[in-house]
Amino acid sequence: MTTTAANRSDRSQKDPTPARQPSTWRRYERYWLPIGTVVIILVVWEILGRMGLWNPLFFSSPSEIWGGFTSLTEGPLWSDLRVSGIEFAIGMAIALGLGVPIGLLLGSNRRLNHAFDPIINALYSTPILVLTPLLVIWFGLGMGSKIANVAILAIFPVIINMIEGVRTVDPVLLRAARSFGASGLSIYKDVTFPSVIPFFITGVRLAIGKGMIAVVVGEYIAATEGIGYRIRADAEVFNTSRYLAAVMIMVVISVVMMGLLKVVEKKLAPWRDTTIA
Amino acid sequence: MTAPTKIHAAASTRVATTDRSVPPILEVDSVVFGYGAETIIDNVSFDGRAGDFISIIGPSGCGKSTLLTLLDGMAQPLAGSVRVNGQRPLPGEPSRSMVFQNFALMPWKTVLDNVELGLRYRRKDLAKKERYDIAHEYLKKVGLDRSSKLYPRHLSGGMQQRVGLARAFAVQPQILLMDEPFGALDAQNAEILREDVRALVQEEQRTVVFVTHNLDEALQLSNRILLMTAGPGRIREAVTVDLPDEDSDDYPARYEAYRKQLWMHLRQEVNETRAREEEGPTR
Repeated sequence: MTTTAANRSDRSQKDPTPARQPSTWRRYERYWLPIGTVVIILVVWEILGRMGLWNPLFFSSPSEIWGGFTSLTEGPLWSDLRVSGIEFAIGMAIALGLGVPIGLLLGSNRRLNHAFDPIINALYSTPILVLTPLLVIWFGLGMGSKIANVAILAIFPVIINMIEGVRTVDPVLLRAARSFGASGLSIYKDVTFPSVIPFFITGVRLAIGKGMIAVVVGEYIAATEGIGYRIRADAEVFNTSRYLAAVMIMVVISVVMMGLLKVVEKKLAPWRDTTIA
Repeated sequence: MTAPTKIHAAASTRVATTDRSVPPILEVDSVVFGYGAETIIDNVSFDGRAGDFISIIGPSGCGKSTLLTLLDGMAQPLAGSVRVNGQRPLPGEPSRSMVFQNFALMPWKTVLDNVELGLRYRRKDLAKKERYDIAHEYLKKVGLDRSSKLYPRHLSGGMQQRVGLARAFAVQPQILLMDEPFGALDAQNAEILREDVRALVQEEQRTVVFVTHNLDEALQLSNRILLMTAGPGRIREAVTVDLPDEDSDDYPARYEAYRKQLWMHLRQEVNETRAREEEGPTR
């Protein structure tokens, strides 16, 4: 082994050519590889569509979906997005505003946690969307029932992750803080809250997914506007390209929200970054 | 309880020869502690003055770390008493600070903020800038002032424990409680940190209670060694270590004599503990 290593280092010292730089292709492959893949899929998809491989009623090619998208932008897209966005934002605000303190409380109190644990787990694993018709009866066809839908669906991942976060605070850190003179509030501020942040982020990530489903399905089942309503309306009249365009918009919004959450996580928990500042 | 054996030798220039006429800062008197029916610590007594470096050594489960918890005021003895400056210790008092085996640094705070943490809780009289100045000063003492903006996860184990030492010394306690501070480190890092601790203790004349598994560590650092039994934890031997300078000619022979004597007791204790554990299930 030693001989080999020595030979290698000798050779490298004698070698007059400088160390090889990776080619431009190599250096940027993490950008162009995914972009290239998407472009190839779109091109093949488009070619197959133009070859008439499927009935346009059942599926659309990328250019047709683009047509659907422009038709949406010229039509109801912005007001639909505004309605769905408001429903989502208010519902999430309620889920976080209630879920975070409830989770903190249940996580800090063993008895309360024991008492509510089965109920929370049962509700979390139940497809609460079946309550949508009831919520429509309570809150009407408008935004109210969708906000309630989002809040009810998104609150459980937040609560469950907050409970888990509080319960897994490192007891050695709590002891260290106490030993150095931290009192109740400083312990929450300096130990409990920071250690709960990663769990909070996970809770929010899951809540966003649930919240999106809640808005779209809520509007899909019973509404007069919103992106979920638009998807249903277009699907019902076999306007497949517009319907698929709306689905694509939902995909893009999800990706953007997850990306934003990563930025928020870096801001909230810079210590988890593996690179040295 | 076995009567403590005292070994006396020529005067030493090492860590501590304390003036026994000065009243002790730390008094542990016939302390008993346990959970439920299980007694963990039974009738432990010793005291500590400024400059005392007391090592507590013994087999696993002898209650060494529990004893530190009592000294830190985190729990109260079932019988007997712990007194710091004549008072019962309460959690978080400025007279003591703790160095933990697994460092116990806040992962979300930078190195500097971790050192400042203790000062923030204890020295409310200081302005923020003064606290950070002190934190910087102690980071410099442990050679980490250039890493002050890093997070603990960016540091090696040895460096993290230096932050732990800086945090503990920065609050300038009378008593330093160290719970196997080098237990999670490799041999070289542990050696370097022992030197750091020795330098800091010599400079600041604190009372140190140091829990360790390592006989050599105890001998190199302490002026007193308490050898504990397990199940329940009692003091089997209390040894006053009086070694000459490490450069002196008779240092190796004297060191070896102490080591042999302590090891004889420790080996016996470990064997007895093992035998008890093997009998355990049928007891």
